[in-house]
Amino acid sequence: MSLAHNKTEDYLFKGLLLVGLLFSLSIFVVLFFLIRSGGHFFISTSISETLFFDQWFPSEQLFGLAPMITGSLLVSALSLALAGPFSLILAFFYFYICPLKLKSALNIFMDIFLSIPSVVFGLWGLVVVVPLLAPLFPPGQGLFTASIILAMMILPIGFKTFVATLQTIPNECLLAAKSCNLSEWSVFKDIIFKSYKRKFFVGFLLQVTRAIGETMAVLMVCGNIIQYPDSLFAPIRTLTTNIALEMSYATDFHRTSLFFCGLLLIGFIFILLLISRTDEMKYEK
Amino acid sequence: MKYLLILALITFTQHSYAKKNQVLLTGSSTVAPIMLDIASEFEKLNPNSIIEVQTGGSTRGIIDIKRGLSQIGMISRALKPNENYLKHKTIAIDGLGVILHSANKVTKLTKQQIKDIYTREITNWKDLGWIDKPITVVHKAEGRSTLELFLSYLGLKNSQIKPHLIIGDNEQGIKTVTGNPYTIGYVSIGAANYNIKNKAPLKLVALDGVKANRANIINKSYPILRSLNLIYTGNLAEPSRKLLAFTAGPEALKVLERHYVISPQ
Repeated sequence: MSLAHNKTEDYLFKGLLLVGLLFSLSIFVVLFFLIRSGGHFFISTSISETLFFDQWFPSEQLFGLAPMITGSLLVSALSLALAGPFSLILAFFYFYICPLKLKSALNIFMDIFLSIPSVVFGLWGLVVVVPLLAPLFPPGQGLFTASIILAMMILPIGFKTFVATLQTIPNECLLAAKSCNLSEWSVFKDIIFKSYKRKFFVGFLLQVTRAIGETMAVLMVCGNIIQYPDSLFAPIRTLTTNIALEMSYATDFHRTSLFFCGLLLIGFIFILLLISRTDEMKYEK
Repeated sequence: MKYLLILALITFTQHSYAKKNQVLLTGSSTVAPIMLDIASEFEKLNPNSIIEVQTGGSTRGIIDIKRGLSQIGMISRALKPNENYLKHKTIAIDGLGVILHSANKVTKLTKQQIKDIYTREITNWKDLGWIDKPITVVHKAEGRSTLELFLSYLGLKNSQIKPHLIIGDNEQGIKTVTGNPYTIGYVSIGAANYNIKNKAPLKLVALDGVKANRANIINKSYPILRSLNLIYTGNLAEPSRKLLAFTAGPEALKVLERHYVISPQ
């Protein structure tokens, strides 16, 4: 009986291993597919003609990606500036100050926030936030609106990672600090933040990776105009929304150029992950 | 393991059974909601069949037919000369309407005025006889057949248009215009009327003095008209052929009326 039991466990383990392996392989399949479909774009046009060129009119054979790259970077940076510090403060509040009753409420609230699909955020932005902003800062859709919506989406991610980080701080460390009669502010500033700042940095990076890859919510509130924004409220287009808007309509070389946009995005995310990994490794040493 | 196999077998056989009576339609986001309603009427009368409708634009409709991914494609324009090897069936006539927020006092525009608005020669509503507020120009994303029709009406290239906002499908355009009283946009007249009926603060503008109503589409005096087509290749299987015939029937006619598009007969 016990032998049979072991056998099933064995099968289960092997099965899971296989599934896991397939999953990790699928990333390479995606990457291979992207390179195969988008790489051609890189060969047939020069870098200066795409990455630093600002005219995107596929029907007239102009494929400049610079405004979209700028848009993606700006919107991610701005949303991090809005959500990053706030999520860190919220995590500290949650961990050290928050009364127990409010604690579970806050936790549930964050969980719900995390599980809302991005389209819902986008639609909410389009029918609630945009009409509020439109009379004050026409046209209402643009860099700022997209950043607000994105900030709301990445806030709980930061919050969760920061709380997880705070949980790893040994209590003795804090007690020792308190017994030295340090004020709460200096405990936070000189001990927690200084010794854990790399881990917090990783939390921020996670937020940026999420922001840069977000599509549907941004599509509905960013205005989608291909331009360098001349103000905080000017419409922009990001690499992701460019793909979503045009992919199903694109043929031939236009399609190739959109796959190249995807390749660029993966490149950005890869760089971000690389930074966070090397940083973590430094930290572990 | 055994159970897993049985489960897999069941789902597989069900799948292949469903395949026989399944019709997949892909294409234009203007035609899709109409076909979705026609399909549900069709399914009521043919309970064994499964009709699936996916949007993605006219270009996708054509690509999917070419690759054999769908049985019927939906396009909101006529076939181009290089696509003539495809067969088509016109299910409805629709117009392209210029839309404003219902709070807007402007009721009619000329072709030249629209041209000036979209190239930012006119940038303020006061130049059109309303209040002193900047105009927000809403345009469609590249590749949409609605956009191509609009451009050919104005006689402009896409790079000459200077929009403030770019939207994807009709629904997003309507939400954008209803959310901001100073915007101007263009969508399918059918889609616009459908939303007006559902109390959206929206109105259609008369073009060159011709109102965007049913009578003017039927007598073809409205300046921007287009046919909504279903496309297919070669010999259609049984359920697809039945569905195609069904689109000219009395049940389909009611659906067309509900969506404010005109039957081609």
